[in-house]
Amino acid sequence: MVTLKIDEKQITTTAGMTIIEAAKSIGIEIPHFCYHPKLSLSGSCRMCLVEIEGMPKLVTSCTTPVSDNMVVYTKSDKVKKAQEDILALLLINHPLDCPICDKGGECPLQDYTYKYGPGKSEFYDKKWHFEKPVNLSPLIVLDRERCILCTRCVRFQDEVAVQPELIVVEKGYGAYIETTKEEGFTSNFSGNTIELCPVGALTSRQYRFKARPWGIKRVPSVCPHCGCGCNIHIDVRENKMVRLLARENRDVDNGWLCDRGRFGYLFTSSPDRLKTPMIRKDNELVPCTWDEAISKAAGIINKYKEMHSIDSTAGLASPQLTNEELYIFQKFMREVVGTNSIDHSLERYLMIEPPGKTICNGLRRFSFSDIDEADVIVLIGGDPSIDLPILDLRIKKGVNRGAKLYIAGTDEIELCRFAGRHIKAFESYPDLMDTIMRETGEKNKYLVLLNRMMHEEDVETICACMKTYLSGKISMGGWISLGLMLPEANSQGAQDMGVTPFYLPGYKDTGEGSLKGYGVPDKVKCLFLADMEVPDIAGRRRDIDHLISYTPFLNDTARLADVVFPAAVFSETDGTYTNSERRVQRLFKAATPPGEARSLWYLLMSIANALGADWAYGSSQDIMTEISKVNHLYRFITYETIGQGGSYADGTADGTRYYS
Amino acid sequence: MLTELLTALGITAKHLVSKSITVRYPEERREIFPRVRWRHELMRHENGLERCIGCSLCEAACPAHCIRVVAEENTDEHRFSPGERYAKEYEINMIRCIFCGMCQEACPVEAIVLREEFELSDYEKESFIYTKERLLVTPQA
Amino acid sequence: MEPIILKRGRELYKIENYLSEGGYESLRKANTLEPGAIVDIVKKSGLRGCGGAGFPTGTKWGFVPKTPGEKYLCCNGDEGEPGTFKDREIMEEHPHLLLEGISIASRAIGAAAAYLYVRGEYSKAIQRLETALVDAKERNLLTVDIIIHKGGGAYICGEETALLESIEGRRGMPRLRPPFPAVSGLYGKPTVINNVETLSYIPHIILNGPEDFAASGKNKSRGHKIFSVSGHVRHPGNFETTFGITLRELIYEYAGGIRDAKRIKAVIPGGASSAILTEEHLDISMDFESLAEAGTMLGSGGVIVMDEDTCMVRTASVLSRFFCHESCSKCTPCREGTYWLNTVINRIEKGEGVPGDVETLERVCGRMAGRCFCALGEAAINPVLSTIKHFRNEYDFHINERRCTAGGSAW
Repeated sequence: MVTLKIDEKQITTTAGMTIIEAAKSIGIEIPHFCYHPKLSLSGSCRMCLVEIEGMPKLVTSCTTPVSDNMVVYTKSDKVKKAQEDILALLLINHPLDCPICDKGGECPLQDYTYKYGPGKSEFYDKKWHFEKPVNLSPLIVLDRERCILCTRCVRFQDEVAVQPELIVVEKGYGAYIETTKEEGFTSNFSGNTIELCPVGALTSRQYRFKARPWGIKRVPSVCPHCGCGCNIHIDVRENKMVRLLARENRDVDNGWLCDRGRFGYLFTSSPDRLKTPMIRKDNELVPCTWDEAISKAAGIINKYKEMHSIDSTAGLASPQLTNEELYIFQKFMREVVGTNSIDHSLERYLMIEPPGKTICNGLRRFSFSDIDEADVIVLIGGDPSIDLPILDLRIKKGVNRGAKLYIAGTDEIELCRFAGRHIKAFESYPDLMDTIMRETGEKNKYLVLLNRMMHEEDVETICACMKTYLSGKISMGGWISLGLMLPEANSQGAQDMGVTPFYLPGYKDTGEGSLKGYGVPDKVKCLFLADMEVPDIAGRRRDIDHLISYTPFLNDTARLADVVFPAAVFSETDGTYTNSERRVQRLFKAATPPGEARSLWYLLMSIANALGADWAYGSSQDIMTEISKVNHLYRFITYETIGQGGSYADGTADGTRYYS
Repeated sequence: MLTELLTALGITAKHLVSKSITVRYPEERREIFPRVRWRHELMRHENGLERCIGCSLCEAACPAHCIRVVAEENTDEHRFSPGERYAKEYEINMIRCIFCGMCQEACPVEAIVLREEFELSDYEKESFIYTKERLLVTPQA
Repeated sequence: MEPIILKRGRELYKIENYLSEGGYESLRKANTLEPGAIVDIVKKSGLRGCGGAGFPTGTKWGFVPKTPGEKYLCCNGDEGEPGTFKDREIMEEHPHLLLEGISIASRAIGAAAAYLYVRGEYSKAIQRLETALVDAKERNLLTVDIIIHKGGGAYICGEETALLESIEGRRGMPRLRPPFPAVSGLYGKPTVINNVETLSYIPHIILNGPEDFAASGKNKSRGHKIFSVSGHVRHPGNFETTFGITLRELIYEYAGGIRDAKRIKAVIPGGASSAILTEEHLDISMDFESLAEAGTMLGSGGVIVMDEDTCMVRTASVLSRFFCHESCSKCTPCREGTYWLNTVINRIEKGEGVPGDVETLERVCGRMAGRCFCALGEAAINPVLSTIKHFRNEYDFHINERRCTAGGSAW
C-alpha cells in the first residue's frame, strides 16, 4: 500500500495503481480519451496530463503508477494550460459536425471542451478532409474526420475480441482507421467500438439520427438473444426502442455486448406487430375484441377438458419468455387445462439439475467468473462464439491469462485458434476426461462445459470420471466446475419453472416423464403455442382440431391458428430471466406493447378466470413471490434481492454453489 | 370644492377631444418591428435546399418542450438539405409555444426563425400542431 | 589527427583489405574479456551515443540485467535526421568495422542475436553490408547472429522503441517507457539500441584502450565525432574530428568555407531537430554541453550551412513540412501541432500571411512543448522558434510585403 496526496487530499491505495484510477477512487475526474480501464495503455492522447511535485514535465496520469509520498496536482495552472492546449490542438482538424453528429449530447470531447478547452479557435486555415461517412459494415459507420486516433477501437479488437480487424493506416495528420478485411468490419463484437469511441467517429447505422441523448428514456433490462443474459440499457423514444447499450455487469458481460444482442431490437417496433387478437371466422383470421378471443379460447379448452382425454391437449412455450410467464404457463396448463404435455423446445434437451438423476454432487456450479479463474477449460460440443458470444470473450481472456483450453467433440470453431488441444472425435467420455486429466495433472481448477444435446448417461459418466480426480484437486485448493451451455435467453428458467413434461417447478418429478417425449406430442388435438413457431405444423394441421397462438407476429404457424393473441416482447414486460449460470436477472418494462398486446401471464390469467379460476396477480412481482414459495431453487429470490445485478437462484448465503 | 370639480371636468374634457391611442384593429394595424417574434418559419438556402439539418438543438433549447424533430439521412437521389442530415418531421405545438425565440437563438444554421405573422387563431386544437409542411417556406422562383 | 572510423581510400569494405589492416583483431581480443570488463572499458572511454541523444554508451549497456536469458542488440542505421549522412558512409565504406563493433557489443551485453536496422533507401549500404556479412560469416569471424532489417521509410523508426516495433513487424510508433528497452525491448527481452557510428568506435576502444579515446574531446564529450556538413559550403561531406573544434573550424577549414564567396547566414548544428545558430555563434565549441548551453543541441552532428541568399522562412517551411509528414500520428500535440505549424508557415511563405500569424506560431509551439509522446514532436518546435527568434524580420517582411527578402529559393 502506498500513501500519496492528490489535490491536497490524502489517499492510501495499492501500489501499482495508476494515478488516474487513484484519483477516480476519491472522486477526482481527470479528463482522458485514449485511456480505458479494460484496454492496454496507450498514453497517446495526452489529455490526462497532471503535475507531480518535483518533476519538471507533466506526466500522463493514465500510465504513471502511484508511489509513496507522491504529491499530485490535477488542477494547477500548468495542468489547466495543458488541458486547454490538447483540446485546442484536437479541435483544429475536428469538423464542425456537432449539430449533425450522433454523439452530440453525450460526447466527451464536447464536455471536456466546455470544461477545460479554449473559448475560441485560433486556427483559420483549411482543415484536413477525408471522404465520409464510410460504411465499415452494415452496422458501423466511420467518420474519419471526427476520429481523434485514440486507438480504443483498434485495441479493443486486438485485445478483447481478438479479431484484429481495425488498423491505423498512413501517418501524421493523414492517418485514419481502416479495416483489415476486404469484406469490412465483420467481427461479431464490432458494436462495442461504438460505445468505446469517445467522439462521433464510430456510430451505429441503426441508431443514426434516430434520437438525441436528452430525449431518450433509459430502462435497464436483459438481452433476450442468448443464454448469457448480458445486462443492457434500453433507450426508448416515443415508445420505440432506438438503441441498446451495455450495462456493465462484471459477473456476466463485463461491459461488452455482441452484435446480435446490441443490434437485434428492430423487430420490437416493426409495423407488422400484431395489435389486436384475431379469431377464425369462415376459415379466415379476422381481428376481434379481447373479450371475444378470450371466450373463444376458454371455450376451446373447456370443450377439450370435457370431451377428450387430457393427453390430447398440449402446450409449447418459448424459452424467450420470462420466468413469471413460464411459471404461469405451466400452472395454467396443469391446473386449468389439466394436462402435463408441456415443453419449451421442439427437440430433446439435457437437464442436469434434477436430484438423483445425475451424479454431479460435489462438483461446483458453473459461474461465468469460473472462466476467469480456471486452469483448464473443457468445451464439449457447442460453439460459444455463436451460442453464448460473451463467453467467447471471457474464454479468450482466460486463455490469454494462461488457462489451457480443450475443445472436444466438434468441428472447427472460432475458439479453436485459442485451444491448447482440439479433439474432434474421441472414443468415449471416460477416455476423453482421462486424457485431459493426465495431460494437465498438476493443475487444480477445472471447468467443464456441456452442450444440451448430450445424454444424461454421458453426463453421469463424465461426472463419475471427474469425481475420481475431485478429492485430489480440492486438497490442492482447487475445484471442478460443471456447466451447461444453454443458447436461449431463458432455457434454464424454462427448465427451472417446470415447462417440461418430466418435472414440476423445482424439479419435482411429475411421475409421467418416461411416457412423454419432447416437443409436440403425436396425438395432440388441441395445441397452445406461446410464442413458439412449429416449422412442420402445416403438415399436421389437419390432425389438430384447434390451435391457439400467442405471438407478436402473424407468422406461418400463427396463420393456421384458430385464435391468435398479440404478444408483448421482452422490452414490454417486467419479469426475470435465468441465464446459463442460473443467475436470475430483472427485465424492466421499457415501452408499452402496441394496441392490445399483453404479457402472457396477463392473458393466461384472463382465460383462467374465464374458466372459473380465481387468479389475482397484479404484477409479475406477485408471481415471483409465488414462485419463491413453490420452487425450492428460487426460495431466496425476490425482486429486492435481485436488484440490478441479478442473483443466483440456487445460492447459499455465502455465495458458494455446489451441486447436491 | 368648485375648483376641484372644474379641474376634474377639465381633465375629462381634455381627454374627450384629444386623439385616442386605441388602434382600431383589425381595420387599423400597428407597425410591425423587425425583431418581433411570432409565427415560425423554416427557411431555405438560396439554391432552394432546406436550411434545417435536423439537429434538434431547437427541441433541446425550447423551454416549453413544444418542438418535435425526427431526423433522417439525405441521399444523393433524395436530398433535402446540404450535408448528411435533414429533418424528416418537424412539428411545433403553437399552443405550448411561448414565442421566446430560444429555438431561433439555438439554431446553428438560421433555419428556424420567428416572423411577423401573429394572426394564428383557429377552431380545432389539433390544427395548432404545425407540421414541417406548414412551416417550411416555399422556394424562391 | 588519425581517423578512427573514416579511413578513406583503402576500399576497406572488401574483407581482404579490412583483414590486412588488422581487422577483427579487436573482436578476437574482446572474446577473451569478460562481458562486464568490456562494459567497464566502454564506460571509461566516455563514449556517448552518436544518434542524437548523446547518452553514455557504457552506462546504457550497464542497464541490461546480468541474469541469463534472451537478449538483443539493435544497431540503428535508420539515419533519418535531415542533414546527417555519416552512417551512410560508414555502412557503405566500412561495413566490417560496424559488424565487428556489433559483435563486441553483443558479447558485452550477452546478446545472441543482433538486428541491423538500415533505412530502406540506402540500397548501396545494404548491398555492401550483406556482402560483408556473407564474407565475414564464411570465415567464421562473427560471434553473433546478425540480421539485416530494411526500414520502410519512416523517420519515426529511428526512434529506438519505434524501431523495435518496426522489427517486430508492427506499425512504427514509439512505445511507453517505462519499461525501458534495456529491461523489456525487442519481443519483450532486454535490448540495447546503439547508433551505427557509436558501435563503429567500439573496436578501436577495445583494441587501444579507453584512455586513448577519452584523451581527446571537450567537457564531457570525449573522443571523436563525425560531422556531416552540407549546404552552401565548398566541400560538403563527412568529417571525423574530435569534440571541441569550433563551428568556424568545421565550416571554413574542413568544409572549405561558403561557396561563391558568400557570407554565412545561419547554421543548423545538429540535424533538423536542433535550433539554428547564426554568424555570432561560429566560435562555439562543438560538444554536447556547449551547444546545450547555447540553447541548441549537438544531436546527430548534421551541420547544414546556409548563406546570405537563403530565405529563413522557406527554411522553416521545408523543415516544418518534414516534421508534419513524418509525425507517426500517435500523440495529439505532434500530429495536430505539426500540421498547424506547417500550414501557417506555408501560408506566410507564399505571401498569404496575416499579422498575428507569428504570434500564433509561437503559441502553437507553446501548446506542443513538453506534451509530446516522443522527441519528434518536441524537435519540431525548434526550427520554428529559432528562426522566429533570429530572423523575425524576415517573417514580418513576408507577412507585410507579401514577398521574400532573399533573392531566390533556399538550399
